[in-house]
Amino acid sequence: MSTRALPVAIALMLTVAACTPTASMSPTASPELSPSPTPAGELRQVRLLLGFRPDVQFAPFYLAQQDGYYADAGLEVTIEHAGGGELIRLVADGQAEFGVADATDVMIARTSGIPVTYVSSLFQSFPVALIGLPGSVPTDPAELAGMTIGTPGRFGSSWHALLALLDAGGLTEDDVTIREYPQFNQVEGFLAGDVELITGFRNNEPIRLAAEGPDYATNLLTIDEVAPLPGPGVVVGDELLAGDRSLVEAFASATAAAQAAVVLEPAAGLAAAAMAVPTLWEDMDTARSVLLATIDLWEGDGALPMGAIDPDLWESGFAIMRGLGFIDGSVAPDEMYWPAIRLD
Amino acid sequence: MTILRRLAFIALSAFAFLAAWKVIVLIGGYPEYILPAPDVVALRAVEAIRNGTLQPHLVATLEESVIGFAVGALVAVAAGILLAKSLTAERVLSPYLVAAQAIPILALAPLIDIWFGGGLTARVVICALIVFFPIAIATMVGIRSTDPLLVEMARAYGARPGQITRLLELPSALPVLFGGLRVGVTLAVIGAVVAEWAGASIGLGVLINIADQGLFDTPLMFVALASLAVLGLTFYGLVLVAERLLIPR
Amino acid sequence: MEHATQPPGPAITIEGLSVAFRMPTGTLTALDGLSGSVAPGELVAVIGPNGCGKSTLLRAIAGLLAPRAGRIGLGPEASPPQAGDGRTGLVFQQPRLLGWRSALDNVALPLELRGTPRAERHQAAERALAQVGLADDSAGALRPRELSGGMQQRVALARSLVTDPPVLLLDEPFSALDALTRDAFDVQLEALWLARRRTVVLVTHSVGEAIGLADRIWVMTPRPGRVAADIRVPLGRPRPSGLTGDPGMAAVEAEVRQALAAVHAPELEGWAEPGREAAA
Repeated sequence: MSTRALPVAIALMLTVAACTPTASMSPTASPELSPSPTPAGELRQVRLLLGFRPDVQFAPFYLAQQDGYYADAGLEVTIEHAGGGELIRLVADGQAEFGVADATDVMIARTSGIPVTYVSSLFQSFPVALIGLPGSVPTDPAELAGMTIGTPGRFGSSWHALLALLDAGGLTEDDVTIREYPQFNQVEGFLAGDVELITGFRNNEPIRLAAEGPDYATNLLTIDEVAPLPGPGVVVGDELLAGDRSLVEAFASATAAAQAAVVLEPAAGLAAAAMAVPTLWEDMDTARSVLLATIDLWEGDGALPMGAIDPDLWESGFAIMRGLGFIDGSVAPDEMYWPAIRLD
Repeated sequence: MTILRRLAFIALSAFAFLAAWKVIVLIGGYPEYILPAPDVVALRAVEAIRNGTLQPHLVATLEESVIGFAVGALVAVAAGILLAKSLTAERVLSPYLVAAQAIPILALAPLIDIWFGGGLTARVVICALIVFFPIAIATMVGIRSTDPLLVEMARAYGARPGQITRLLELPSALPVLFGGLRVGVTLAVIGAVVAEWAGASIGLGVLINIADQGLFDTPLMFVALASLAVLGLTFYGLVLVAERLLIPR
Repeated sequence: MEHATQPPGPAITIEGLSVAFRMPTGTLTALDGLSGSVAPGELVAVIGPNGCGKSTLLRAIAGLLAPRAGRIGLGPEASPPQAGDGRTGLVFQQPRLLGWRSALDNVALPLELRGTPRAERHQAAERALAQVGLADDSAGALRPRELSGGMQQRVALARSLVTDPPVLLLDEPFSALDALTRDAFDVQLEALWLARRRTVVLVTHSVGEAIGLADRIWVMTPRPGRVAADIRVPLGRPRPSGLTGDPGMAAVEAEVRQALAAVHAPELEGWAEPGREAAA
């Protein structure tokens, strides 16, 4: 009697397994690929997946959607949110047309055979850094030995950057103590004193920490000089790229234009973000500071236009990721991206 | 049914399930990174075991769930006895217990992890919390349903309260108690995973995250899920065996 | 015929016993000022309809209830009964056996509760089972649900005998069994008692059973209960079951029924008056 329940239990558990966490298992037929421009007056509906949750850093997308940049490009963009792993899979499978993902994640995904392509950069300067109180943050990565570091987990650009930093200092993860915060709440661990350093976006965590009080002014250890990696950007599925290149280009240009508009007039970007991020109103000052710091990272050193992909940066990043063992090099870097924003 | 026929039945239905899974993947044309077929998962499992990827995570989750279950069950049985015997205790404590149960532990787990300084202790606490409620309630109900006629008989022959609990109430509560243990032991596996998601660096829950978000290796994620299923089934089977041994039929 | 060595003086003394229960609706007085005594080795039947307090009386003698007033004494020193002191054995209407234990372990329970070591209490349990005719090993090893209702009740009886108590208290012990088994068991009970004379108080609502077994019959009043009539049964022993036709028995029966009718008239009254229908 009770063992008759066992196969049912197996079936149930594996069915539950089959349903986690990649959402929407329903096989959508590949999105209708119309290579020609949409009929006049009719907007092409597309789905954009931004990261884990709404954030002021996504201001260009909010502005582009609200102020008609996308509409002018013939697009009606629906914005949704998804976690990193799910996002890449949904975009690769064509269930969403566009997404924002880490370049290093794209390298791993493409090497695993997931058909997703990086088409434009959001940041010209790599955002992830190690953050800590002044005096705790070493200037030389080799001095990281023996420290406790908080990070969301053993995945994502924060993890890749951390390992790249350690490697640059001749260290591995065994030379430090890692505390994981899978809910992305490593700031809480830092405030509780459980960790000395945390990984984070240098346009975000330090500003939020400073808002906690003067005791939380922070220093940073950035990777740009030490281990250059490409930052987050827009990704699309291979099938869409092959079938409707002009759509991809239109989206990328509209986004870049909106990004430029935010740089010129941050208040407009802030206002657009306020419409999309429910908790923004609670602390507009911090949100503004984060947006301004983000703009700095978008522009980087100004060598490339916004949205452009830097091939040299990809080569060096590729070598680093390969050296760390995240990828085996079977897929070449230039097979991983396709520049939707021309450099000429 | 003889043991052999039972095993054959189980094997047959498991096979049918796997076949149906394969058919769904074929018909739906799902890519491997969305829904891998069972043979792909099996091959990935063999590979993961061969290069030693799976074992450390499996052992970690096993450790957390076994200790978490043991701690949670012991506290729950004691609490269940207290609640059964003391009307005051039940009146005072039940609202808190029920309210605590209604709050999803997934939300509290990160806080608990920080309070207990991370590490195995924190994970055992989270796991024990998840396991606690069904076992405590089952114990309480089981003991409350002791036949009062038997209690009167035992008292007529001089049974003291401790003897009544030990010789009468607990044995008579065993069937209901084991019902709670069956539920609790499968929750222990879930509890261990929830605890790992709150901040662990090793375990099947961590492997799920690494496979899903770090490596985009969906087959490996399914290997982790299947391992959890096997773990749950094994625990459940052990409770059944214990039930057969302890409850004379 | 073996007599248990009986000390002089009454085995059970009851003086002005009052027992009351606190109910949600108020206080229920089950017994009020009940007095009586039972000589050593005597078998007294207590009879009356349900609710008259006879089961309460039995539990008071067993030491399960504390009197509100009056006292009960056991033995020549007339000390109050304590549940589990081994001086009384109580048999209920239902067997009340622990289903997860073997019959042998059930019988041994009273000794286990007093801390008797295992080997000793198992031996005593075997002897008790032998007294009720279940000396066969296999019965002792069986679980209660593997035994018939009659056998379960015999096991319960053996349990009450395992501490060799001087006083045996039986609360309608066979009324849950079918009539044929009941008659047979009554005969066996008498034989058991004749073999080793304990003091027995038997609660029953069967006049036939009372007359078939008892030396004296106490007829109880309705609640609050006390002894309305104490009727001697001067018939010889052993008494064959049935006893119909024995003129002595008819006389005792008439006396008992008359006593019952006197105190329980409203409950035991006839439902229809014969002849009235015809007249109307």
